[in-house]
Amino acid sequence: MTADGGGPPFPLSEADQLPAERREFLKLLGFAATGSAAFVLRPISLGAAESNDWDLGFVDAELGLILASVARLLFPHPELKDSVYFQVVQDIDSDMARRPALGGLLRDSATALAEQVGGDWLAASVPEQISAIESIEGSEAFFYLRNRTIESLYRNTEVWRLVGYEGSSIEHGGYINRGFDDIDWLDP
Amino acid sequence: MSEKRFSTEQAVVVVIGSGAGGGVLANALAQRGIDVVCLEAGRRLAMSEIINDEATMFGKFTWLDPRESSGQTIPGFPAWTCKTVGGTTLHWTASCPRMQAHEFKARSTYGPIADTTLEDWPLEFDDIAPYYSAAEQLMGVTGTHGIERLPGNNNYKVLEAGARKVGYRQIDTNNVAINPVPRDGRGACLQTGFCTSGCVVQAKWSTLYTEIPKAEQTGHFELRPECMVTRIAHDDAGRVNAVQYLDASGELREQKARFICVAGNAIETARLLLNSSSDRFPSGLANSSDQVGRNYMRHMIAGVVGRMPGEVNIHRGAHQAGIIKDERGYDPSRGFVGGILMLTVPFAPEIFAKFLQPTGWGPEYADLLAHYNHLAAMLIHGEDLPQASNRITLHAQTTDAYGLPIPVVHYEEHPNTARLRDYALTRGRSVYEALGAEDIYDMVNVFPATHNMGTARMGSDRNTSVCNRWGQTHDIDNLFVSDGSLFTSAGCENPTLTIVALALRQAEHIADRVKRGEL
Ligand SMILES: Cc1cc2nc3c(=O)[nH]c(=O)nc-3n(C[C@H](O)[C@H](O)[C@H](O)COP(=O)(O)OP(=O)(O)OC[C@H]3O[C@@H](n4cnc5c(N)ncnc54)[C@H](O)[C@@H]3O)c2cc1C
Ligand code: SF4
Repeated sequence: MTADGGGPPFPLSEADQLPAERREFLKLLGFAATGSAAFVLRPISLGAAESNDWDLGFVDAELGLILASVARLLFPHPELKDSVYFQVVQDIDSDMARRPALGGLLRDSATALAEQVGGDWLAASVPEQISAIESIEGSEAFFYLRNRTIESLYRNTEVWRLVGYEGSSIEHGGYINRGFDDIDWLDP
Repeated sequence: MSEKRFSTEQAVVVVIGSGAGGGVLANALAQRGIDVVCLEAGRRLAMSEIINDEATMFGKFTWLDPRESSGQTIPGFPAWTCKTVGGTTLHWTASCPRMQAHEFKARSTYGPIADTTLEDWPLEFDDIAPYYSAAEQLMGVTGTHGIERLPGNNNYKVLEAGARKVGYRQIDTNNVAINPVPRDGRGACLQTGFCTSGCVVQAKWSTLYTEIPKAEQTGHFELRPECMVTRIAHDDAGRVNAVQYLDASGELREQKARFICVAGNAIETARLLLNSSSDRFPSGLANSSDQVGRNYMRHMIAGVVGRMPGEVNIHRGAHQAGIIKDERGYDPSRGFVGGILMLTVPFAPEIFAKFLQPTGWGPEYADLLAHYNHLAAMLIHGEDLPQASNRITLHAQTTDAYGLPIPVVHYEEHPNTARLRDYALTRGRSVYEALGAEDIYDMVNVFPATHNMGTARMGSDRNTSVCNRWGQTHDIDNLFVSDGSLFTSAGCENPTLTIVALALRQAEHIADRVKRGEL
């Protein structure tokens, strides 16, 4: 149903939330604690406060950081906290629970991306990272990552607020008295 | 809800599908005292399950059983229909224009066109006009029979202002089956902006909460949800006499039938007829002409999106309450035949992100999406022409969870459609250009088919059509088709009003024949 190849590439799949065996995201935090250079690098910076809630079963620390960084590079909204992009990783992790081949696909493409920038993705500059992503455009992994990032990001109410989509309206009585026709910049 | 239950041994009228065609037909028969069992593959949603959330509702009512895409169809998802009580009327946006008189005479109006199977309908506008009228009253269509029009939302105001600047004159908030004020026991539109998620206040007509409960009140109707018809059976004389179906628990059952009306939405209707082949009818039921599944039409559908200089907030308000009709006529000087309608349409951020640029990403694209509230959009519908090679067939190997061969949906665009589309996009863009749009985007070849037509078409020649002017199959006296499959040509209008009008006309015809003891 989601971008993970099982269903229609078209629209509005309901994000799958199958229960999965999960490990603590502590591993990722542990990775942070080792003092890796990752956390001083842009565009993704992982603050422990933001990552506390994350709970991954299939994505390991290094891959998680790369995927979050790719998600931000694909749809960079400077106003958004990293946690929104980590939610994308969380959703990818759920997909992996149901689609064993996905792990291999994403690990391979993370390796390919890292190679493009000389080995260490998180140490690379943003322009280097962008041209690396350009080099995988059209691949199955790119298609998956773009679609999954969209389905995670643009269903997130934080993102809705940012772009001006107001979500469910029935509890407010719709827009009949709340601006369905309030446009003010057209010539009279 | 009535508890009427019919025995599977009682030969009732069986209606397959509870959407626009099936729901209306079943109720119209039940109101005349004819016993009907309606078999519906989907679940019956409670109103409390309908919420303002597109992704969740998509998961609840969409037809997600596998269909194979072939030709220029969207890979993996060639058509967008529903599998639920009420069918695609849960999802639809309720735009209800009538077809125009000349569109029923497409072949005589347009003349011969290579690589098409274009024909005139076996009925004229005047034949269907009274049923259009009845359908509009039944559904409560705005701008007809004294029902006021909806007020225009922001997206409409942009469309209208731009349209006036480029010289269009036939612009209004459309004829929609949406209550502007409470009517028929249903609420008034609150402009929630969630028409395609099912209307919480029931302002938008759907058979789920109109025709189905009304039929249940007659005591002549039983709805069986979660019952997928797998096969239509016939007797030695070649008349249909039963349907086989898998019920909610997966058990195979058989319901005896005096006659059968198929309204599964054009793809499923053709598939069921093809899947019901027998020794006597080896190429499928009602298919002596080899036309079942052929002449599949779906309209040219494309989007135009303008990034406007100010806020639009496109998500507020009824989706398709806005239309430009100036291009709908027959005017070969434009370089093609067939008409064009331009209608307002909103999309949620996710859909824009996926399709404004189908492979778009990066800072500029994200900036465009961050300006969601500045986007205005229209959906363009154009007539497409019937072609024998555009067709529904059965997959040779793959079966679905019911064990049925899945349908293969094949569609290639006719050159006339390509010319129509190019013209329509230029005209559509001009509407937003006239208002100083900062950028304009086409959404082409991204939408799965929403209007499915022609796969069991009506005609006066039994060699080139499947059904007669009443929707009765040429081959089998007591087998009827009651949905968009019947369309001889597509017109440019959204099809459902015409489907409902044909169903009402068919019901009257059937009831007359029942009364005369002919069925
Ligand atoms: C997003 C969207 C917007 C639309 N907006 C408009 C609009 O504004 N105006 C308009 O005119 N049209 C619109 N349409 C099209 C409209 O919904 C259809 O034309 C209409 O619903 C078709 O009616 P139908 O009875 O043929 O099929 P449906 O309404 O699809 O009903 C068919 C029913 O049959 C059931 N079924 C199928 N096969 C079987 C089987 N073998 N056994 C048992 N049950 C079966 C299905 O589950 C389904 O419930 C829209 C469609 C979509 C997807
Ligand atoms: S906009 Fe109106 S018709 Fe559409 S879902 Fe909301 S209340 Fe119903």
